[in-house]
Amino acid sequence: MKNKRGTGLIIVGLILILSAAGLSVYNITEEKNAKIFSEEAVGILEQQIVVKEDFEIFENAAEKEIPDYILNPEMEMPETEIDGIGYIGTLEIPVIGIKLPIISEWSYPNLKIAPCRYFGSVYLDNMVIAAHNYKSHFREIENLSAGDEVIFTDMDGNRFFYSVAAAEVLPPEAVEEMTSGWDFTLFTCNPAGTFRVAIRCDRN
Amino acid sequence: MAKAKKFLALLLMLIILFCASAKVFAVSEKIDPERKSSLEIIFREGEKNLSGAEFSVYLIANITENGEFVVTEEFSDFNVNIIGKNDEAWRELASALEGFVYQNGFVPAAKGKTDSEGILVLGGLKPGLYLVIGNPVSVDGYTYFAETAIIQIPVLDNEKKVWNYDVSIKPKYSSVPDLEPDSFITRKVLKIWNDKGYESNRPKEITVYLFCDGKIYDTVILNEDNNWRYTWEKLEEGHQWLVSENNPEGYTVRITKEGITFVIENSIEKPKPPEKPEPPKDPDEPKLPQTGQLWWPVPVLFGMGLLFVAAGIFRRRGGYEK
Repeated sequence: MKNKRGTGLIIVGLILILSAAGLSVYNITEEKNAKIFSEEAVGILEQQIVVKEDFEIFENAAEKEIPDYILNPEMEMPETEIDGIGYIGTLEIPVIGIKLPIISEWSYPNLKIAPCRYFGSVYLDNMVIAAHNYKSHFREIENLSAGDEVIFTDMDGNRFFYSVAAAEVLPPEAVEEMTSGWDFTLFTCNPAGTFRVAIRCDRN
Repeated sequence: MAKAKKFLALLLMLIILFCASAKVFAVSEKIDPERKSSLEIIFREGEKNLSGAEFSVYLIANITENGEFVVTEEFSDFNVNIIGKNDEAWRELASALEGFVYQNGFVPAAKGKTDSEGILVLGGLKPGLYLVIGNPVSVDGYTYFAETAIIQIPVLDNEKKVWNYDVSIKPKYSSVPDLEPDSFITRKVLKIWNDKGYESNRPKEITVYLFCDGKIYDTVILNEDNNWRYTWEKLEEGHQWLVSENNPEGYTVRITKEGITFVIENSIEKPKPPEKPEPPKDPDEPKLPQTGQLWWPVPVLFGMGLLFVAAGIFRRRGGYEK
């Protein structure tokens, strides 16, 4: 009798261990796919973006090209579609070695592919980007320190340079606080998923 | 009709502010609105006569004997928004009117070319407000672009305090050296909607015309899909490029050129009361997205599993001993 009960306990124990292993495999696969998806997308976007260097100097002011976003900061950010998903540009953080595509609208399926715009526009200096804490996405952002360089490039090839200014830990309900007061914000979950780590940046 | 009145009001305001002659308006004699008048155009660069330049004049508004303008039927549909009261605002208005003329294919009240002296006299005009458009002309290796202007006939002679019905102007111009045949430029158009809170009033799309020396060169549709903008590449240099749009109902238009970009700004005229805001889709308290992976159950499951296995082994061993 005890023998049988012992076997039963061992079986339950093994099932639990297998579940842990299964969940780990799922997480690792998800993370790996996210890396592949975003690397593919950023490659395509980089081919399409023609980076605009500083204002070209013309002798004749009438032939100067003024970026559209300066003429109309309220304009929608231009998008490029890849596999039915609209992207608004790329994000580079040289100090942690990431270069990622940014999806225009956030959703849970989109977050599994790449970081997403959660709010705002770079043209209005209020954009907030959300991403999973995958290693290839935003896990490392908590290691950023003040002054680190962050670069966003839009689909028109305009480059926006930022410096990390502050890090904040916010509860999941702090929507208002997350979306106000900073030029540029990146956020992801802490490892337990209970808080959001926000990296606040100032435009240079 | 309401539009015409508004336009008239805007113009009048500008003209009163602009024309020094208007200050002595009240003391001067009445205007004869039917008097045969003329416009002399002197087109010269220093001593150089710019001959062969074609100018066309269009009657924008008739003038009454009291000096009030009445917008002609043709121009009454033009719903312009002018900001400021300086030369720049006038240039803007003239340029926007020019696009309107091309778009509608209006027939000029008179036209002609400057003679060997660089002079053109257009006679037989009625008193009124005129738009004067010059086509580019090439002289001695340079192309000259006359600036489109708005001219009032008659003008007040300040010394004699009488109205002068034979007006003479010297158009402003810019010039560029004649170019190799394969010189190209880029022009862009960008639409700005100035209608915050009333976005639903916007038309789905807008047609924009690009004119080359007054003739339609291209027509494009601007809409949300192309982000309300368009770029023309490889346009031949040495021509006059200009845009106009199909004026959306209920909006005024303002066209400016910023660098190589034509900015067409449409502002809503009489906002209706805003629609009731939609109730939020999610009645729950909004939360920031969950951006963490489900890692915490892994050690918990694994630990519990180990405990169960250990307990099972212990049980089985205990069973053998007894």
